Amino acid sequence: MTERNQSKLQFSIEESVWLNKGQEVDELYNLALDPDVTIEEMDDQICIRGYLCLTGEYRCKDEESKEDQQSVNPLSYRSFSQLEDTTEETVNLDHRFPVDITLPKNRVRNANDLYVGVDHFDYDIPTPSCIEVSASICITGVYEKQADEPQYEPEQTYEQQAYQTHQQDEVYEQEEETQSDDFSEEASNPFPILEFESRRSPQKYDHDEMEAAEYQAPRTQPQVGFSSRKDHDDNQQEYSLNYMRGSSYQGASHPEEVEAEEYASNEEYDYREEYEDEYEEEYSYEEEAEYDYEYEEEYEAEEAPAANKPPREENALYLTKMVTRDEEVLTKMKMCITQAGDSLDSIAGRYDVPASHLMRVNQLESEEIEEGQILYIPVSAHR
Amino acid sequence: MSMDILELIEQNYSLKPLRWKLKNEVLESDSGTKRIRIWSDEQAMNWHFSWRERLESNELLTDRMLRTRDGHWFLPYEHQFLTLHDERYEPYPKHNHEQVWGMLAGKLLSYGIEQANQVQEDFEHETREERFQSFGLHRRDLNLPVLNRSFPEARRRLVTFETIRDRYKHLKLPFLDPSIMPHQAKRVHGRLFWQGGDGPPEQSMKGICTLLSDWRVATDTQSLYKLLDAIHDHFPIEGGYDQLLAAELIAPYEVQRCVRRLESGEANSASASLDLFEREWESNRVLVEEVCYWIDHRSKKVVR
Repeated sequence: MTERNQSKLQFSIEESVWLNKGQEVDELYNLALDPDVTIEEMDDQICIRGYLCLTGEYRCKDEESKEDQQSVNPLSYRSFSQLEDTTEETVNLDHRFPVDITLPKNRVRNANDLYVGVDHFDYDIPTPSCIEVSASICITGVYEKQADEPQYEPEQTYEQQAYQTHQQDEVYEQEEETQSDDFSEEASNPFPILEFESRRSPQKYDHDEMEAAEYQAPRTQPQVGFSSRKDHDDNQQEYSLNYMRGSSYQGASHPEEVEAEEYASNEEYDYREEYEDEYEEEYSYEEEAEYDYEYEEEYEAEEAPAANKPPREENALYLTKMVTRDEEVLTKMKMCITQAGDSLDSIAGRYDVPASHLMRVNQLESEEIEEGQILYIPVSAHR
Repeated sequence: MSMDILELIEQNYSLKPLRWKLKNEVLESDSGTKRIRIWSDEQAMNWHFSWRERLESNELLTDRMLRTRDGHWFLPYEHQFLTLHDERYEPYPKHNHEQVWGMLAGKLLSYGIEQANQVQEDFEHETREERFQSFGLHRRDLNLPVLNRSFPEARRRLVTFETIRDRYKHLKLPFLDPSIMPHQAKRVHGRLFWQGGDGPPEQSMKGICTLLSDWRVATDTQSLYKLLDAIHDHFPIEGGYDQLLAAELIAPYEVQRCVRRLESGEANSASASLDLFEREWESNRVLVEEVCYWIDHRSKKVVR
């Protein structure tokens, strides 16, 4: 039996919510981020699903942006009584970040102990059309070590192959695969590698839509998923967080998930600069329990609505930096915490990436790295 | 000073001033009531002289500049200019006289277009924010809820105005007296006698808008449509001028007037100014709807 040190899964979100033309913020009255999730036990998994609800009220920036609407019915204006009906031009913001987190059941003693909360929440409005949200989300009631089974049994590998949700239909598959014999790292690593993926579908800034979208809340809805999986290569437990965004998910109760590999070629999709909206997200994984191991994070932005995590035996943390346009761009990155004795060259060699590339990606001024430093490792999306 | 003017008139005009009816403005003479206008802007005076001469016809009379004994139409007066005009008081009827009114407005527009040169006023050089300020749409500091509530909509209206003006910037806008009010029309021997203003002309449709606005208040929708039809007979309100007319109506001039009233601290209380503002807002809103309906209806008739 292993020890059961209760841990707290914690990840931070830095999210930009872009408002449609004509819905720009003039003055923000209030803003709140609250989890609205349900916890379900499914086979060997515990699923946390729901939303992070970003709600608030703001006064809409009103002037310039109404040209398009005016072109629909340009030669009229509202009476005073109608102006009173829309006092102060207040717009309600209701933006939902779907959450889909799957944890191995053996990491949770009691599902009732699980608690999802927002530790820290802040926002900024760099431009009237953008609300930047930063939050720290934590999940308590998770334990570092497996409770009832030997840790990281070599033969016990499985793969979450397909994890699809198609509007009302949801298909969840798991496939078992053989695991590699190399799991030396994980033996000392309770959460060796966490993975989460992030994606957003293109914001459709169609002018016709905007004309008809007066006073609408933003149409795009990011979705966040966080699921566990095992990888046959690394034989480690892993958690994944899927972050999905797109008009195609409007109203969908669950994110649509597709196998990650399917999106590898999506990197070749045209990236149109028609709109300059850029979405950036950054997630970090923190664990209160001590660890002195290396873990990887894979950073992935996907074309399709969601990603299905291939099973791995190592935990991998996928960070996703999304740049949303008409087509999405897929990139992958791993994240590596440098250990004593590591050098930039050794890490570059380990991941078969030029050291210069690592320096550029990590904005390093020299090849010197320190123990505990996080390095982002770019990984070919076609692999 | 007033005595000097009366003496000056008696010396130069073939009439004998009797007394002031309105000091330094209107006088009684042995040839009827006359109005004096003092001009400091010679260019504006010339423009006002020109349109009065141009519009005068058998069907339409204007308060032309009366000629002096020497045949001049103005007198130098203290580094300014003095002109003398007939003054009448019997209002010209509106109902069932839309054709005559339409002829007047149409001729004013036609002449205004003739006068317009290729260079538009510096409207286009004004930034949007400057335009908002010129309409007083930045005056939240007045802290008047009624006014504040109107600002977002007023800004949208101004943007619409700007958009349409920009869309038809290739069209010349007429030079018009910025205020063309129905009460300026008098009846003389059964004919319409138009008493013009003396302000500098503006290159916009604003003057026609003031006419339509007052007309709608004084008459009804059907009469307004007849007037528009009559104007259209003399100056085609089409090919973009219909849109420019609508744009001018959309522009939130009533907000501008209200802010100016409040800023000037006129005798009216703030609440009275705001009441007037609300009435003007609603009245203009209905006018916009009716004029747009007329534009739409007329264009459909043309398509047929």
